Amino acid sequence: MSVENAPVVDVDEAAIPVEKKMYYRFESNDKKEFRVSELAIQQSETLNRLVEAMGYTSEDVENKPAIAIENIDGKTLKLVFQWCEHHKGEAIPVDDGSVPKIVEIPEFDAKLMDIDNGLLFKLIWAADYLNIVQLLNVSCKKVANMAQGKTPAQLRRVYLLPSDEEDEAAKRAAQEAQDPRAREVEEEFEERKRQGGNSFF
Amino acid sequence: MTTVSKFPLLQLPQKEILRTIQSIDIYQKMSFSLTSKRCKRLVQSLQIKIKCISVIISSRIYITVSFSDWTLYIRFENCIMQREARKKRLRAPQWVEADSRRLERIGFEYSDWLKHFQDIFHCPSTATISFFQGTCVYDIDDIKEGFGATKTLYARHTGCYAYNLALLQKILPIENLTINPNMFQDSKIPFKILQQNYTTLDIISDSTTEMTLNELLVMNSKTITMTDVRVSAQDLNKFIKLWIQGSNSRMEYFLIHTLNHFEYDRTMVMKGIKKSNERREDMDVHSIDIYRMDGTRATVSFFYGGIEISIVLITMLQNSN
Repeated sequence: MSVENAPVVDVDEAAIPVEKKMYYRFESNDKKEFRVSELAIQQSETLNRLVEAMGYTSEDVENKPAIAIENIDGKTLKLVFQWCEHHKGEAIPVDDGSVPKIVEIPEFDAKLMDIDNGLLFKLIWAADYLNIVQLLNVSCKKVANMAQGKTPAQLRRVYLLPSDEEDEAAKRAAQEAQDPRAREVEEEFEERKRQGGNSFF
Repeated sequence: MTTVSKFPLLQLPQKEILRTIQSIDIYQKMSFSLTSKRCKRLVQSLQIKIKCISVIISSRIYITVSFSDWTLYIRFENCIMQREARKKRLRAPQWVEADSRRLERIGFEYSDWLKHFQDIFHCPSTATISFFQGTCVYDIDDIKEGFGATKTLYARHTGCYAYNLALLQKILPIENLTINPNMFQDSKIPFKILQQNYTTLDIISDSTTEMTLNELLVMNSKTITMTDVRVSAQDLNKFIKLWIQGSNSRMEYFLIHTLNHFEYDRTMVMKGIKKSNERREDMDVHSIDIYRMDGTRATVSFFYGGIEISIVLITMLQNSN
């Protein structure tokens, strides 16, 4: 177990008949198809609930279209399912918002996540959407490790952290995008102030 | 030239941003919080639990953050100081270290640093300010402005008698004072310092110091403890008699403790005082109950190394009934 001190839910392996391993088919948003074992799917709370709700039989899986995961691409989904297959049957940490005090990244996970930061970013988004708690713990730990020994200025560069001024500008832009009239009102107000008017309305 | 690996942390879902910064160590959390207001708010939202924040001033300045099982020392180094009126002015420190790890925030002055740590650790007040040898090089007004508000002051000789007194007057009033007689000429603590309404007054002497009845009588604190301070048996006798008549009415606990195992002569200290329930608490403690004129009970305990007077408050009696 790579995570210590984490509350866990035990997976009942005995309940799954060995001779009748169930697989599901999933399709990424770029039409890549994956076959994933039922036990591996249990690592994802989202997918687990989904397949439970669908109540597919083995025949359904083969006859019906693959289950579409529309917001994750094939490259990312491949990593997710590789991780789930490798860790199938392992205890699943309860996601209560806390992070285990010690998160160690196992060798397999480290190799799996030996990817560029763009793909790591997508992997975390995917793990968040699919609610794979242990994958989130290790992937966020990998991102956290980037902070090691960094000064605030270095952190700003590594994590692309905007300054207060940039945050303010982004907030204003977002407000204006939401309400195009806002800028007009502001400009009108400024104009009236320049003209010496006391009351805007 | 090495390329810096970049990751758009703040574009992750909020939950995963928090999961990530929860995983970074405390030093990086502090660094992260210094990068922007948004990052500060994120660190605040982690609700990091600490016991208290304190300030230590000597020739260097430290802010300490006490966690349940360890203390983080934040050291301010190479302060930019200009000599104005022969005192060094506290300006923005040139750099700051937390247990040898560099922290940075351009333009932050001492009060800004303190406020920042108080904010991120949800600890709005400074538990203790301690002054040691070397403090006297700093401008008192700057110390007051940068760190002034505290409930507890731990004062040692700063290197200048006049400065010690001026500093105490500047920082008072406070609730708890720990003071050393050697901060003052002839090891005499001025009456105006002793007579304040502290909750706790601790007097800790480096070498045995004599205190007189008059000094005891002006003390107006609830708890008074004195370490390596000698009060004569005659003065203690008068002090107890005057307490019975109503002096030192706020006092709830009084302790004289010497490090050389000095033992008071019980007969002399209790001479002429009505005693009740005289008993031996254990091998080395001899206790006697006395009553003030208003009926308040106190227990006087003699032990190797000193004497203790513990007043039983009416509220305490009510609680025990």
